[in-house]
Amino acid sequence: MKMFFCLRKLCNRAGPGASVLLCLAASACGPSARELGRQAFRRHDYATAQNFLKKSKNKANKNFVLYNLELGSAAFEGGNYHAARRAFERAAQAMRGYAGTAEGVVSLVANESAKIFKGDPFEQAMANFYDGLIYYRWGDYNNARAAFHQALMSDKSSADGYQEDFAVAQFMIGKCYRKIGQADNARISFEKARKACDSNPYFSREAIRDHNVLIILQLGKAPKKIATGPAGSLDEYVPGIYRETSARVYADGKLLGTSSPAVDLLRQARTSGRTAKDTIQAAKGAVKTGLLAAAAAQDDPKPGLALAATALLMPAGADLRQWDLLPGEIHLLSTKLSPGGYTFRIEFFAGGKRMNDFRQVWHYVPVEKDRDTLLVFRSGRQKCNANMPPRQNPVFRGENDNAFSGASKN
Amino acid sequence: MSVSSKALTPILIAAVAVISGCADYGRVAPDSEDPFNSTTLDSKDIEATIQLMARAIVKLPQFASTDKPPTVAFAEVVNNGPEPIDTELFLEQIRELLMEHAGGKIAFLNRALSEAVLRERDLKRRGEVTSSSRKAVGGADFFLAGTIRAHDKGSARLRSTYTLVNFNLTDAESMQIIWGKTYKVKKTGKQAIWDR
Repeated sequence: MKMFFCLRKLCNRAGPGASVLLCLAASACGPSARELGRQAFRRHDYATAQNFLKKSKNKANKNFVLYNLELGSAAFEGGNYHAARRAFERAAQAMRGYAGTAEGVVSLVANESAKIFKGDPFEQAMANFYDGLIYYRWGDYNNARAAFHQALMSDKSSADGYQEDFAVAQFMIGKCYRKIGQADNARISFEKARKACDSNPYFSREAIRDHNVLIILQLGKAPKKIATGPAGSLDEYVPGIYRETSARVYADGKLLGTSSPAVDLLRQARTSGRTAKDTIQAAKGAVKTGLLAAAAAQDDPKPGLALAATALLMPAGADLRQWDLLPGEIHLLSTKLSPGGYTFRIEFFAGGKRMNDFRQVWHYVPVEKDRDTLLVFRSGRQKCNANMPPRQNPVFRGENDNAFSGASKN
Repeated sequence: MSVSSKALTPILIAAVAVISGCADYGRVAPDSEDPFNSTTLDSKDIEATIQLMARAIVKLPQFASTDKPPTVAFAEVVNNGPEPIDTELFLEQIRELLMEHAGGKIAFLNRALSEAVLRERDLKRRGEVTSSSRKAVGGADFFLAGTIRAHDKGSARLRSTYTLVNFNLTDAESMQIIWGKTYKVKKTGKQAIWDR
């Protein structure tokens, strides 16, 4: 009540203009559209997530890339591939660009998050990877190859020895080359994929020679970025919290196979490498820590307080922004199926134990005739959906989306 | 000292305006530099390519006469470059420039509408829709096709991209390439220290 009368007194003194401002300030205390979008994403309500997240897509601020990555994730998982492609390409172009000098200079002396967010190499690679999957799904193998190439180029800025280990992008480049009739380039790409990840049986052109269905499974949650080092000036990735480690895929009740790991995003995140900016961050953190220690060691409170105040006001925090709607791992399964409609059942396992609340059943999933079928699934609790995944008709160079034959539709 | 409400209100409004951040928007020329410049093709390169090709095509001796303008159909622009791009953009814009400046010396076929046109002709000949005239479907004298290629290298913070955009005209009878031109651009870039 006292607070109310204080506010009322303030409004009376300030006038009607300030009253409006105070109301606006009060209403801004609820969750933002972005946070509501992220919450919707986590409960697999991708349509709602897109509606909220698209409100931020054109905001020309330091988080432009992050807003578009999140929108891209929601649109991709919701099957809205045109919107997803646009969002990922907006983000990828900004990530590749060299803009943001003023913000970057500020970030060297202030908090690191003052700079324009452009993501770590693995995040840049994933944005391009998703873009490539969309083009591949549409049968535009040239643009798909180009997008996967960008994913590999993004990985080039990782630490030495880890610069060509985004194996799934190499694999997809190989598949694109095969589709556009460049057999030699396809062979080289498959060899590179196998070299980067020799445990995956599908990274072999012989193994997948007559396969027409590629299933990509996204497991778990993105690695989490935390502050570490002196005064939290450095960032570090720790595992995202999830249990699923593999998946088995069934089509019309018949087991197609067990998924095979293709990319571990935690490993990708941890092998991004330390650079000169981390050295600057560590120095900022060390100075801040030193000032605090000096303040504590002072006998006279006045200089002690001055040093403490200087230390507390000195910004040194690491940039903890991240694209946390990513999965933790990407798995693959390649197979051959006759064209038609199938019921796909995906069982997820934590070690050897089946996770019943993660089971997914998808009806009327079409396997295309005369074209590769790409299916992308994502693990999640209670994500069972008995309806056909949203299917985007490709409007690409007059191509018609002919319905598959032999399948019944509700 | 009391602050009058008349003075406080505009100050508060101004503070909110500053705090909310200044958006920046402006219309720019298509061939201006992109705010997110990178080493790959930008709108400036696309405009330069289109202008280069259109200016060269309109001067070809094959298109010197308006008596019976040769017909040109579009084949594909193949993207072997380093990033996804809408390749239709090149062909459409070249066609537009040529239609504007060639003085009727070049005719274009819209093969993208082949199915719709043939369906409509069929309906007309069956009398199911009205028809004001009957014409033969145009055959192409030349095909305009293109390729985007690039040599894209990078490591750590450095990137170098050499992009070549080639267009050529092929005789639709003899398969002879009667003209070809390439727009070349090489760009290098270095990521700032704060970005990596």
